[in-house]
Amino acid sequence: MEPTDAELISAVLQGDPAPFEVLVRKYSPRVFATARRYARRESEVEDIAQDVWLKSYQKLSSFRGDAPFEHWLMRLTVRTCYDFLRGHQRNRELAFSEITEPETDWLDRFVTEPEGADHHAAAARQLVGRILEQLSPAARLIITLLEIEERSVKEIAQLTGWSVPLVKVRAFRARAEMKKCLAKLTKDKYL
Amino acid sequence: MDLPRLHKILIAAARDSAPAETVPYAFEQRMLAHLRPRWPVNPWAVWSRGLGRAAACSVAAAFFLGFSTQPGPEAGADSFSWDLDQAMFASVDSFAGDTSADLW
Repeated sequence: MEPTDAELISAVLQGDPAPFEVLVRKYSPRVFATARRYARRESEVEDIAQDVWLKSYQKLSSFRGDAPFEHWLMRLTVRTCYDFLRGHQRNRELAFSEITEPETDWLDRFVTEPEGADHHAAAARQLVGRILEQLSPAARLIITLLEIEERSVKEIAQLTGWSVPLVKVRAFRARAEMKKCLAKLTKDKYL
Repeated sequence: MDLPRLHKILIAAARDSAPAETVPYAFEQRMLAHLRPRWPVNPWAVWSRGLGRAAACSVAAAFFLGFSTQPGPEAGADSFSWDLDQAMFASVDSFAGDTSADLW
């Protein structure tokens, strides 16, 4: 029978670090998937994952065991991703002129026939990635958690450590920021 | 342009493309190599490891000395022990020899 997370954590806290490898192997896929939502390059994704595991090892004694370890780890992952976004925000520059031909074609099709626009298209996925990169770190985090991952405000508050009213305020601002971004994209292209 | 609809479609596109859960090859090993210097040192483990090594060295030394002080094949065990006794008690014997003459 496999040891539970609580048993593994207790062994690590008692000075035997070997069971930590089991936790790394078990939860790394979730950590990588979350990190890929916020970082595009694989080297950045791996840096985030490494940072998450380093922090989790250092802060393991603060894990009280009230909630599953996975929830605690995901909170740490989301906060690390937010730190990553804040650290790299100077790299985001409005670069809609860089949109590729398939993305332009998809937008053209949307303008001529909005009802027939296909959200399964790769160009649409690339375009939304490009737009998310233009957003501020808080706006990007909120849009990702609230609209893309469809989490509740309460869940987001737990994940980010923000209060519920703050999440609501930031969600409102994030939507406005995204709207502004889309307006700029379409204005640059079609007006 | 219908911006709310564009927003909706783009968000749907993002939802459709869930990120991969793949972990790079040997990530766990790299991670643990990174963590190893931070692992706590257990003083009892270090002490028992040192004790074990010292015990092994002592046993080896005892065997080595035991075999090296054995007499050669031509010399008898009795002659060796007799020589050792002679060497150890030479001074006592000579003292005893001198005084015995005086006493008796």
